[in-house]
Amino acid sequence: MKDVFLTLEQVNKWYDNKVHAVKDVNLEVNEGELLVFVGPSGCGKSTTLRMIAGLEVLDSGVICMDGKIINHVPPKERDIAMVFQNYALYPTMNVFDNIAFPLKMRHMKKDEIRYRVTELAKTLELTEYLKRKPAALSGGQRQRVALARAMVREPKLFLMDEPLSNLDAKLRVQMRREITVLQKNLGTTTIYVTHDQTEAMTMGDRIAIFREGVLQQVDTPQNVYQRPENLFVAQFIGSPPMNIWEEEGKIWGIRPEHIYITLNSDHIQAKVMTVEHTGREKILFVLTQRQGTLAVLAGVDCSLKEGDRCFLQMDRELLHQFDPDNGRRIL
Amino acid sequence: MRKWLIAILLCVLALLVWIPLWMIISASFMGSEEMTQNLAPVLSDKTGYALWPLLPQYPTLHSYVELLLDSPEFFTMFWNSCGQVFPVVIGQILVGAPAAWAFARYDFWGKKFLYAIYIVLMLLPFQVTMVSSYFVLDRLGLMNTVWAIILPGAVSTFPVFLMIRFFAAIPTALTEAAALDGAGPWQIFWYIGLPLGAPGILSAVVLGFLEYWNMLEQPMTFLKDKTLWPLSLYLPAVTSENAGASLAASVIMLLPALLIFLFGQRYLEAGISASGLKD
Repeated sequence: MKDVFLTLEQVNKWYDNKVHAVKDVNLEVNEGELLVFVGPSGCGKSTTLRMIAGLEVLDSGVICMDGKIINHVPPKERDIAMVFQNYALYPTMNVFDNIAFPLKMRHMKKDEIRYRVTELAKTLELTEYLKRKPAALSGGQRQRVALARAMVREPKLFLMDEPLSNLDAKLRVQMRREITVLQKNLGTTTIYVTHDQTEAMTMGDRIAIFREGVLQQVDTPQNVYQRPENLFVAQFIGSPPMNIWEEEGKIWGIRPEHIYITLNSDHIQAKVMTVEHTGREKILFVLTQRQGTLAVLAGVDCSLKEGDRCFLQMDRELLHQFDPDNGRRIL
Repeated sequence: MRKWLIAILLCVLALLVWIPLWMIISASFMGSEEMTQNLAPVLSDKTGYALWPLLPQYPTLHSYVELLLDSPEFFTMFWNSCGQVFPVVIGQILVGAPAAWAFARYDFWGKKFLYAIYIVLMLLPFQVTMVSSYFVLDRLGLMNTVWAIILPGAVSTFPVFLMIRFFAAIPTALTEAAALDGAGPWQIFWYIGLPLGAPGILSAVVLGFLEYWNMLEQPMTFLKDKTLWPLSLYLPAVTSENAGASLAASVIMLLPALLIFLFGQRYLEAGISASGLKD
């Protein structure tokens, strides 16, 4: 059992007394873990992160870090470092000064600053860019500088607000891995915000799913995927999302990989509407009489094409059932 | 073909704008006799039309020599101008930049009201506030001192208005990042606000310098002692006797403004487009 490092209790945030952006959030973050906040835009994940950073004021509730209530502690005294979506590098300073800035603000000796910055630059492969201004760097290099600036003073907590969203797909995958490795090596507690569920699933020790300011579920990626607590989580996590349909007053769900194409005509009859090729597999979108349109994963050698008829078998053990009134998981 | 036409039209317009400047420069190299002869219908009782040739018939540096070597009052006024305009501009930055930063980046009680007062003060021409300024300066015992020019100029509202636009354009993420990196409010202003707001500050410097280098009303109203007058008041006193020296003085007076303009043209344009107004 790991120690709890950060606690949020009944945290609420309103904007202009009208928009209830964060609703009664209760959350515990363990020491050294990478927790990912995920959810669609406007779900309150970034606001919660900003409250932890001290950039937004809580309207009610308590945030406790390392055993101390930090509700009224100014950002500079929280010992938290943050990586912003647009990197927020200081454009008038070169890379060295950008990384050195947090140390300079702490009145660290010049020799110590130089040592720390150059060492970190080596680790992040930034040595040759130390004299460049941020404008002369590529997206990936800027991202590394932002990470270096956050890491250089060895804070107690890292906050990352969609740090990869401005990178192209290939670089995003590479940086995703680099951040995970760095975090594991440093062992610093990290909260990572993203709207990309793949990023959340691949990076997080645990993931926290938000919707309309309400925390829906906090669990390991595997548990969230296999046992989503409600209909929203079931549909938000997974690509293609879980198939959902209503039958006999109940809401049922099944993951696309748990539906199998069969030759046995005793099973569900379906008609192929579209076929998507991902290279590694095929996604068939089929129309059934009772379940409506379902997504089904098939191998690349599957020869079914648009308009073909087939039969489907569902793995009954892996069916999910949700309450039609509140969307909560029943089965 | 159309491009050529536009180019020719623009050249003609540019020439029209240039003519007064050329007249000043060419006449500053005219001898006093030639000048008196050409301008007699204007400056004396002679009838007919004044002449202003494109080039002087007998070019001479006599006016410059007279001005620079035989007119000590010119130097006094030149240094008066420097002694008044530079403190005004420095004061505008020292007072205006923190004020603009506060307006741009902080929410505080009465901000809108205070900002409205700034705007109103900025829109009022000098003539409107002249009498009240006179009373205030008189009560403070500053009349007929250089402080009567420097202090009201240094707390002018226009540079604040101008700099607000530039400071407000700095992304919030940068100041937030600095706050998390351990910077306090003053450090954020110093390390983030000032370097990133530099174009705004420089445009305020350029506009402020041009405005106060050419000021007429303020010294005429607040300075009785002519030994305190700036150079801008030397020029209106043109007579037929000193016309040459006056034109040479015009050229010399133009130089600092021209240099400042050349140095800060980029910022000046940015400033004008940011403020959206300039009288």
